[in-house]
Order: sequence, then structure tokens, then C-alpha cells
Amino acid sequence: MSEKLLEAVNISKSFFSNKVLDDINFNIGYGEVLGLVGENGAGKSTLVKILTGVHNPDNGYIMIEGSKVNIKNIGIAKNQGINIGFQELSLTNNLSVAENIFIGKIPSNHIGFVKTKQLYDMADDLIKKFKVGIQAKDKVEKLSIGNKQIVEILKSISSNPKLLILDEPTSSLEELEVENLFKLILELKKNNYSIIYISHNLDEIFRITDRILVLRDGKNIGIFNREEIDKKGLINKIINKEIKEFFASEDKKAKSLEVLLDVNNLSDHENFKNVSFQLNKGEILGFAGLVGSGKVEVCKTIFGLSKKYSGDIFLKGKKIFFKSPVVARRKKISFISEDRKVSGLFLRDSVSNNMISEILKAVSVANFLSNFKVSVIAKKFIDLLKIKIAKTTQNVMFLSGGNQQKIMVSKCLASKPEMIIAVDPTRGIDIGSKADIHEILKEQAKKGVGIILISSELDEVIHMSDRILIFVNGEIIENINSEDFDSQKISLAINKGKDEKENSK
Amino acid sequence: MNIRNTRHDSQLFEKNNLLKNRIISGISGFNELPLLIVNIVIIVALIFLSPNFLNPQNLIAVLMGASFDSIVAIGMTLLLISGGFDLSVGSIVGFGGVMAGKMLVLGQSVPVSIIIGLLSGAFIGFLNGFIVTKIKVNPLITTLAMMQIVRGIIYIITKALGIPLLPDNFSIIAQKQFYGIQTPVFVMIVLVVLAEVFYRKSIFFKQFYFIGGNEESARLSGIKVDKLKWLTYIISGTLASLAGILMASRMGGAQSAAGTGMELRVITACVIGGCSLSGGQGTIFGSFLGVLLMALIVNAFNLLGVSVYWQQTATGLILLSAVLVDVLRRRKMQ
Repeated sequence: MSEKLLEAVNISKSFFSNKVLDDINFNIGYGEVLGLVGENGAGKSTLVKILTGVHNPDNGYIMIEGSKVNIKNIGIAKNQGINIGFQELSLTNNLSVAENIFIGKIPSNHIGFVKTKQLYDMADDLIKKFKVGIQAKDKVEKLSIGNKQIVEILKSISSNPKLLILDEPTSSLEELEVENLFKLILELKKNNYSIIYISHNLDEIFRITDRILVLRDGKNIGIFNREEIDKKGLINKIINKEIKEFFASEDKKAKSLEVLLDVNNLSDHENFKNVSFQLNKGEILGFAGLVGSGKVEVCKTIFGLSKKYSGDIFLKGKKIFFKSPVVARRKKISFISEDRKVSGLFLRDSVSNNMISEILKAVSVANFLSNFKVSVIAKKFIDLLKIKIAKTTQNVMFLSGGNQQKIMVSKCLASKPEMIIAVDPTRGIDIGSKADIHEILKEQAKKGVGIILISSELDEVIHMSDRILIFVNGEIIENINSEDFDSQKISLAINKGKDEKENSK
Repeated sequence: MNIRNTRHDSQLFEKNNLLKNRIISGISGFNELPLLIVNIVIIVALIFLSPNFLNPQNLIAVLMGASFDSIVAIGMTLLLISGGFDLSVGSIVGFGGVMAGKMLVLGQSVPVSIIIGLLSGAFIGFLNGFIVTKIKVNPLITTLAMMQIVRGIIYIITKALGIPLLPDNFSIIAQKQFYGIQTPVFVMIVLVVLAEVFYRKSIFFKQFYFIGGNEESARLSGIKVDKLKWLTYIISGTLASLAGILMASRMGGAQSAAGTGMELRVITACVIGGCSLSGGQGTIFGSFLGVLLMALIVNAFNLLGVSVYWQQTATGLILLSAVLVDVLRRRKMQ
């Protein structure tokens, strides 16, 4: 038996004249987690597709356990024990956890009846083995997204693969759910499963992987031991350019103290209570807190998505009742939603139509759309946000996550908002796009727009904000100015609530 | 691909292929082209196969047959674009005609009767919209129930006999001919042209595409989603009753079974014309071509003496192939 599970040798692949992978070599040991990073278009997905038999390499070969294997199609990849956990969940909601894990291989007797007890025993075994906190009999629809993700991985594990590929598994998870997923990955490691972990989130990469493979323009830039390289070094490898001040706090000038939004004693009597704060013009105000701390709910209430609240909201000194998003939009508040696919974009519509969806009046003449005005807006934002598309009539659905996210931001900026609520504005996108979006948000703030920022990455909040409010159990417990930002202290404060909650239980 | 070079590359690419791109996007932007070609092929074939096809009376009969469905399809297209659905339009066609007829029989004047007929259709649409948008019942179930309730009410009001023998000053409306063409055809042409222009370009109707494309995104964009969806049912109900009133006028009497089966025929035509049952897509021109295609097929079978039983089979096959073409085109895009 070879000491390496898989070895890829001189893998090259071109589509037409475009070289997507150029002479890639790497290997994965048993029980190893290999991080795979690179910008969109660097060749990550093509490499994955070659490993899983979707594409065949033009050159080079793959060795599994010391013998050369021709992974001609998906079936062979499966037989060889290479399994991929999909970014999008493929679970059946109204079936139980056990049925989902063993779908396609449910144990049955000779007349085809399900051996229920055996099924649930098998599922319980897996759940115990990997120490995940879910019940085999629960319906999947009742689970959180994080637990669904875990069921998805158990489903892949149930066919006993040797190599598991996880592509952005945390892109729709909250902090706590990420922790559970990481626990599962560590258990898998202990059981000698090998994992390729693909993510744009470098913090995760540094936490969970053993070695990191960097791809850029289809070339292998290097494989680094986790201890060998730091985040800044890795970013430079990925984009081949020094991004100055990336995640470093820049000099924060004094902002104007003109109050834009004044929230007084806001409660929805369910998720948060007695929330009071002020947002100044030109200020980026970060909301930090755990899932369920009420930070997102406060934003949704201000945007009019929940009608039942008590307390007062003043916008530029005038009291306003936000009973629906229609009111919020009229008051020039814009919302960047946390999930571009579910509640952000019109996926089957064109790039330009998405961009103008909030400013129909402004791109029309006598209530009829003006093609000229639409194209001016589209061009403006494509240049401003460096969006990479072939033409503006292109469907949004097939664009990369980074480009989609930029289109969502354009849509919001096109309406010239005076206040922006940004919930996870850079979730699951590459570092280049992330920097572009950060830059544009800061520019907006300089122009006097007030921004409330929520992010699942604490670093992003710290990097972007002028001030941070810390939410614990539906209340603001601290208000920290940028001079006093300290990621350890903040993360301690955020988690305070969790400990109290657990103690009281 | 080097990210930093892509912009440059794509500019170069665009310059080289400007003309080609423009032609391709012109054609691919014109989604109704295949359907238009199918319609033309059938017309040309019929010209050769049947000497009676070009007979003005036959052509007028085809248009007449398409007119009622087209009027209903205008409302249905809007519903489908915004992600809705209405199975009750067939019953509303009957209801509109019967209500107007009932008013005439009770001695009301023609304009008043027509307005009451239209309002009764609008009212059913209002109920549909209320149940769908406010109580949040699935539109399929809501309108399936409404279809049966309304048809039942028609039978109750008319004791299943309809309202025969309507006054001449009412019947003349749809029977009057200009250059041999009857009123419903003109009504159809005017409404189709207006709706085509407005659906395609006006910002008010653009909102329905956004609602159908992604309701949540539309809501966050500040679009009044519920109110507009409610409105689509009212528009659809009103247009269906208009078709019913014209039909009653044309026949000289309101039949209690008028409009039966129309809902599925119209939905079929709209889907053939490019509407998607999952919302966000569709044009009036496409839906109109769909209606026209189905009218042409009925006509072809009549002219060529093919049994009527084949008509349904043919319609089903066309629906399937239209959807197939769409699926294949989408797969190619991917």
C-alpha cells in the first residue's frame, strides 16, 4: 500500500484554446485535509471535475493507492471512493434523517419492505461514530441549515468513500454551525478519511486544513504547510498582488456627527428588546453577535419586514413607522440580503434587468423603459464594481458567486440610498471580489451614506466598521469605537451570552 | 484565465465579434421566432393543401376562433409572468356572459348590463386574489375551487338553460361587421397590441416579471408584491368576463356551458408561447402566437377532414414539443 491515498501527476486541461489547468501535481495522504484555494476562474472547479470524472484531463494521470486509475466518468470516481458534498443541498425535506442518509440503499426484506429498525440502527451508528448531535428519526425539514449540511456529509460518508471533496461547505452556515461542521471534519480525519476542502474563507482554511494548495490562472502556485504561511502571505499567493491594508484597519477619520437613524427602545417581544442606538451619516456601524442574538432581526424590523414592534425609529429626526419594505425603500434605505439566490437576485433575468429593478422610474421615459438609460446604468456599475460579464443581456444564474454578489450590490447602489443595511455582503465569494465590494461600501460611507453591516466573519466587521455594537440575547451589551477594537475581546463579549444561556439551562 | 486580463480580452473579443454578437443577440433575444416560423409553415402548408383555406370567410373564422382565447390569454399571461395561475377563467367567461344576459332580461340597458358583466368577472378575480395573496392558499387549489363554484352558480342562476334570445341591440355588438370582420377580432387586435407594448416596455408591468422571477427579492426591492399579484387576478377575471360578454353577444344568447375547457386551452397556448409555470417569463406576442397556432390546427383538421379526436392529441404533442425545445435551449445556455 502506498503512503499516499491519491496522487495527481501533470494534470492539464484546456477548453478550446484556453488552458484552464496547466501541469498540476499534488497528492493527498490518508486522513489529511488539503485546502484548495484560488480566485474564481483559477481552475479549482475544473480540477474537482477531473477528480470526480466529469471532465477528463488532456494530459497527466491520477494514481489512487499507488495504482494508475482512469477516472473516465462519475461512476468510476464513485467506485474509486471519491465523493463530493455539494454546495447546494440535495436532501428530501419530508423524509427522516436516516432515510436521507441511506437513500438509494435502504435495507429491505425480500418482498421489498423497509427494515425500519435496521435503517435507524445504521443511522444511529453513523451519528454516534462521528458524534453529531442529531436524531436519526427527525424530519430533515426541521433541521437547521447547518445540520442539513451535516446530514449531507453523512450521506456521502454512508457509501464509505476514501476521499471527500467539500466545496464551500460553510457558505450558508452561521458561526455556531460552522463549529459543528468542523467537529465533524475532525472526527472524519480521525477515522482516516481524506478531505479536499475548498473555500474562499481563509480563516477556515487555516483552521481546518493540514496543507494548502494554491491555484492561480490554472497553475499550481505551491502547496504550503499550514504552519509555513500566514494569511497575508497566502492572499499574495492567491492574487499575486499586494492588497494594501487588506484586513488591516486604515486611518479612520472623524465622521460627521449628523444623526441619520435614531432607534429608541426597539422591541419585537420575541427576538430582541430595548434596542437603542444611533447611526450617523457616513458611518459604518457593525453589528456583532451570535446567531439568534437579534442582530439580523433588528435590521429586518428597520427595513419593515416585521410589522410588530414597539419603540420609535427616527430617520433624520422624523418619526417613521416602517410597516413594509415599500416604506423603507421610499425613505432611501436599501437592503443587501444575506442570500443572493433566495432573496437577492432575479436569477433567470438579465444582468441589466437586475440592476434596474429598484430604479424603474429613473430609467424610464413617460413610464416606458428607455434602453439607453438602462445601458448607461448597467455600464456604470459594471465598470465601478469590475463585474466580469460578456454582455448585459446575460442571464445572472450562470455567473460566478462574486459577480452575482456584485450585481446585487449594484442593484442596491443604483437606487442612490442614504442608508444601506448590508447583511453578509461578501458571503462565499473570492478575495478579489470581496476587496472590490469593501472598497465600494467605504466609498459610499465617505459620500455620507450610513451603513449597518452584519457579517458572519468577525474580521470583516472589525475591518470595515467605525463602531461596533455587540448583541447578546437580543440586547446591545456594548458599544465599541474603532480605537478600541480588539478581536479577542469582541469575540469574548459575543460569546458571553452563550455561556450564560448554557449555565441557566 | 487571468482575472486581470479578462477585461482586456473581452474587449478585444467584443470588437472582433461586434457584428456577429449583434446578430446572435438579436435572434436569441427574439424568443418567439421559432413559434412564428411554425405558424407560417402551417399557413403555407394549408394554402397548398386546401383550396378553401384562403377563402376570406375561413380566415375570418380562424381569427374569430382565436379572438376569445386571445383576450383571456392576455390576463393569463400576466398571471403566469407573476408566478400565478388561474383555472377559473373558463367559468368566468360563462359567468360574465350570463350576468350581462340576466341584466338585459331584467330590463337593464345594454351599457349597464355590460358593465355589470365586467364587474362580476372582476369580482371573482378579486376573490381569487384575496384568497391567494392574503390567506395564502395555493393558486391552483383556489382557482380550481373557484372554477367549480362559479360554474355551479351559473347553473343555479339559469337552471342550466343559459339565457337564450338576448335583445338585438346587444347581439349587434359582436355580430356587426366591418369589411367582413366582426367586433371580437378588432377587440382582440387592439388589446393584444396594447398589452404587447405595455408588458414589454412599461415599468409598471416590468414589476410583474420581477415578482415572478423572485418574489422575495421583489419584496426587498420595495415592490408591492401582494397588491400587484391581487391585481393580476382582477385583470384576468375582467378580461375573461369581457370575452364571455362578447361571446354571448355573438351567439345572441348566453350559454351556461360557455367557456368550459377554455382555461386549459389558454394555459397551453401561453406555455407554447413561452410563459413559464414557475413565473418570470412570457410575452403577449408569444401567447398570441400560441393561441393562433391552436386555432390554425383546429382549422387544418376541419379543412382536411381529420377526425376531431385527433385535435386534442395534436395539441398535447405540440405542448410537449414546445416545452422540450425550451428545456433543450436552456440546457445549451448552461
